Amino acid sequence: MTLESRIELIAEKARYWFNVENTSLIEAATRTYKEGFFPKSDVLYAIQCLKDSVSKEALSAWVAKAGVSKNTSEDKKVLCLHAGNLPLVGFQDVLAALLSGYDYYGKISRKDPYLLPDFLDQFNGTPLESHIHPDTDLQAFRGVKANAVTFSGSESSIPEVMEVVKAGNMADDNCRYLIRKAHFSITYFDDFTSENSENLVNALLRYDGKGCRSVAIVVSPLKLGKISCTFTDYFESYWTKNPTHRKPSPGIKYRYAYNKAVQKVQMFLEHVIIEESIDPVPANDDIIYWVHGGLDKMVELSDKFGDQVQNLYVCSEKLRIPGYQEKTELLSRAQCPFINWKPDGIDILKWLFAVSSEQR
Amino acid sequence: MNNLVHTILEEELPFGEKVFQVFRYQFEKNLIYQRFCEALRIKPEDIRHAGDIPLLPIDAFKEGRVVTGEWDKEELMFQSSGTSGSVRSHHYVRYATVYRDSLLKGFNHFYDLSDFVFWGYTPGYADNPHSSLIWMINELIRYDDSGLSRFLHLNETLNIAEIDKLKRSGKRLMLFGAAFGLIDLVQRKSVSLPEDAIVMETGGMKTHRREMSRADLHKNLADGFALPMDHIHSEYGMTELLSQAYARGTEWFDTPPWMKISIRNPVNPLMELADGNEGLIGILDLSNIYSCSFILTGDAGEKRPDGTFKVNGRWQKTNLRGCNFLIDRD
Repeated sequence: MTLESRIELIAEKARYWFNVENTSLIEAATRTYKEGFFPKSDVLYAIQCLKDSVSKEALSAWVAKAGVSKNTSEDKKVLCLHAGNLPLVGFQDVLAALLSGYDYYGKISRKDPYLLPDFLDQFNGTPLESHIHPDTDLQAFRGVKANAVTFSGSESSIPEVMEVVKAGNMADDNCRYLIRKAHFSITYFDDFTSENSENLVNALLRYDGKGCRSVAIVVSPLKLGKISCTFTDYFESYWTKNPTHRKPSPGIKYRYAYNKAVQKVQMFLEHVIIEESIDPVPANDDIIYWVHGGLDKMVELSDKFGDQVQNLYVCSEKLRIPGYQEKTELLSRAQCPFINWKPDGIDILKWLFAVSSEQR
Repeated sequence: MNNLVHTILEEELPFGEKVFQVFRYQFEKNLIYQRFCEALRIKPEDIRHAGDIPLLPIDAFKEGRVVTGEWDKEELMFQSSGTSGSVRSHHYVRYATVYRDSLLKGFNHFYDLSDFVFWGYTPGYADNPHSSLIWMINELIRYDDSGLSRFLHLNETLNIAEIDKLKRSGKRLMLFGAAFGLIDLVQRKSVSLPEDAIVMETGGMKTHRREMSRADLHKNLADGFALPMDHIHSEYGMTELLSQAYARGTEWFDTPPWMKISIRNPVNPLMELADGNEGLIGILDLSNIYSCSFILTGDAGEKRPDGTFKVNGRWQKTNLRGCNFLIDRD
């Protein structure tokens, strides 16, 4: 297939799949939230965001921006080990694999078992069908000898994953690995309009803060104590519209008590604590740090956390974080990125083509 | 001085009795700890076992003045080491004698103080008056009246003539040093220490440049100093504690009678874990009578039924944000 025909086919299948009357998507989405994998509001939000970001024009623009040539990589295989921390988290990797012409081998997360497979079913009966191999069992990929492997991991989980992939002969000897390590994002919040405040709350709480695009640290010229009362209303409004499945962790009460003990300013929101901090250490997704400071503080924290940080958000298009232009995005796009966003700063499509060219 | 302080180090009095007295005292007189317990809705009468006592996260020593009683003049103030820009712990010690007694009695509980000459391969006390470790080594050096105990100069190699003199004195050598300091010392020049010498490493297996397991460290030190493995000991102490635990040739640390370990569930630190399970190391150190005796560290470890414990490094926070691929638990 030519690149143009791939774009055409993928855009058409996506358009159909995202259609509000698509009963198979409705069923996959319903099962996903009814079986408790994710809250209904998060499932619908993820679907809507992807729907808005995938079109023939968007895919063509992505391909062009990635500098992809007309040649595709039809003799190559990519093994994608999808995380399951939010609904459809592997969707971008799937599109990149299909656009690039790789044979797609996808380890579907058991925490999100319906949505991605349902999308992939759309390609049954098309020229791409024989190139698509999803499975929830990693062992199904034994002997695949992929040329490229993508997955997300922490420092501690990477060796374990690599060992399983190598032991199962799932990767070729010259295989290239794309390992995403970013865990969280930071926002600079200096403009307290109602719209920005809603965007901030969405960036903090959407998907229970589990995505790497979710904000774990807020840097603001205003102290938390000054705005906490106003913000409580935004949080309540968010939870009314987006009820969470999450139960408060036992550790959160402990953290609350500790903050009370050292008289740290905090907002205790039952599932989440927002606390004022001068030395934040993002680890748990139920603690959000509010750091009093300016752009220099943003730079300091970005330097400190390095590749753990996915994005730096700002409220205004005009603002850029010095030294981090590439990572800077609008806060309003935190949970709803363009289809060509770059996890860990790497364009997956460009990367796949580079691997393919290298191994040709 | 509070009357309790005279009894906490008494080995005849059972720990179980003293710990409740100290808990009640600190609940009443330590504002930080009191607020902590009240926010957890825990009152002294709720505590049935030592394992029920809430442990204050050790970061409180960075974020507050953790003191019990009404006083603002301390005899000693210890400060943790740290990189520039990082927030350091501060331990305000009301009476130096409490730390001194705890150190010397604790040491004597496991070793015979009068047997030893002490060498400290660390920066000297004059340069580091706020290091609790160096204060401790300085006290041990002061205790020995042979004139042979001292801080070694960093970057110097061990002096054979001095070792011979030490052998002739009839005393044993105990060489204190941080993990990589001692490694540097043996790498500079391997020297056979007297066969009855003890090397006491004080931790620091991970720096920004290097990392080594405790087992590898001990092997390197034993080889470098020509000592049997069981003469390489470890000390577990920290700025926030006035007592020390010692591992004498094994990986298991012993505590003095006024210090106990409680391994806590990292997800819910109010819950004590059964022996043999790995969790966060919690410490009940009664010699911290004027600061806080009930501390939750950031170290991972496990305990055995005999009360000894093992340190497994820093607790790795597994519930990281982002898309961790947990292959087994997916």
